[in-house]
Amino acid sequence: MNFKVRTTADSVTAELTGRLEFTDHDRLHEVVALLDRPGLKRFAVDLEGLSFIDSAGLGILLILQEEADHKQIPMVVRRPRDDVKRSIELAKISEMITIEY
Amino acid sequence: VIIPGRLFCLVPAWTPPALQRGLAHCFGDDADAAWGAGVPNQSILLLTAEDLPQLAVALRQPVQAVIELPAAGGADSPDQEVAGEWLAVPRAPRAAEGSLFLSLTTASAYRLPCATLVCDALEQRGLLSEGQRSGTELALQEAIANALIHGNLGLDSSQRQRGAEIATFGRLVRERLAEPQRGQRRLRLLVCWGGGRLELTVSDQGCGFAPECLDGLPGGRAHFGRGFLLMRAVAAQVQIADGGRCTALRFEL
Repeated sequence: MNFKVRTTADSVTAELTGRLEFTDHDRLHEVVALLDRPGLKRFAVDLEGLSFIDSAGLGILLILQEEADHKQIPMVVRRPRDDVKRSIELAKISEMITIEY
Repeated sequence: VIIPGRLFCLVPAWTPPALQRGLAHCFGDDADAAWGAGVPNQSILLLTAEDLPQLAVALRQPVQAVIELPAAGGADSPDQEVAGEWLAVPRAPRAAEGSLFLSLTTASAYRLPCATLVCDALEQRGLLSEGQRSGTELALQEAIANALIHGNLGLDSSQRQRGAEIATFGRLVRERLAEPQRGQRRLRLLVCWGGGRLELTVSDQGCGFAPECLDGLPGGRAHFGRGFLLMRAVAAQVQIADGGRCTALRFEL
């Protein structure tokens, strides 16, 4: 998985590309660190560029959600498509994460 | 050079003499050699870890098995280890139409996109349509991840429940991959097809688990543990065997 960061005055969007899977532990802390930005009021994870996600990748999204909840920063997951959208639906995590299709 | 329908073997220079003799029996003229008996006309590729970046190329050929040779100094008895993997190559697959077998060390399998490579090979052989591909790859990915992380590396998902723990978990993975005892454990993938079915079996050499443990998964807001949920959602059948060391996935073609 790779990611790019887009920022505004009070928001951060992490745009993930490639595959988010069980070998991606080492990249997660870089994404989690985005939540430490001073003055952050909104956090988004954009999945449009993601082609595959496994259950470990879904777990990573849930950890991000918990970290955002802990810091009281609203988080949204945006634009999952194709296989990524299906994995999210099959794993039934939409009750725990706000997803914008 | 891969020659379809012929036994062949690549022997690295460091290969100990005893292993060379065993391989000569496997792939040479001695048809009665214990390792080679009953395995005629198969294409079996032995690769070193350094060769594995070429695995995608190898799988585009009509190989029936790929076995990673043990690392130099990485196995107490490399000849016995290769013999064991050799014996795991299916002689008479249950599904008569064909099979593909991979035996990789954990250290190599972790670094390779194994599920993608296997599904690429199956798609190229005309066994998976585009519509069947994604579910098969997802289930295989989950089985491989379980075999590597929980099986061969012996790590528990409870060690990665919070953001701060993920970096530690990543470090643990790297450390255990580098340990000869864990990093050199085998991941075996066996794919058999025929009769309108595709069966993928993933085996590890870890401590296993009690299949009853799966009844409680996934747990509410737990971050991990949804692998079997996904496997069961996309595969026609998911079976656990060998005390949790083997996951068999069946798909209808």
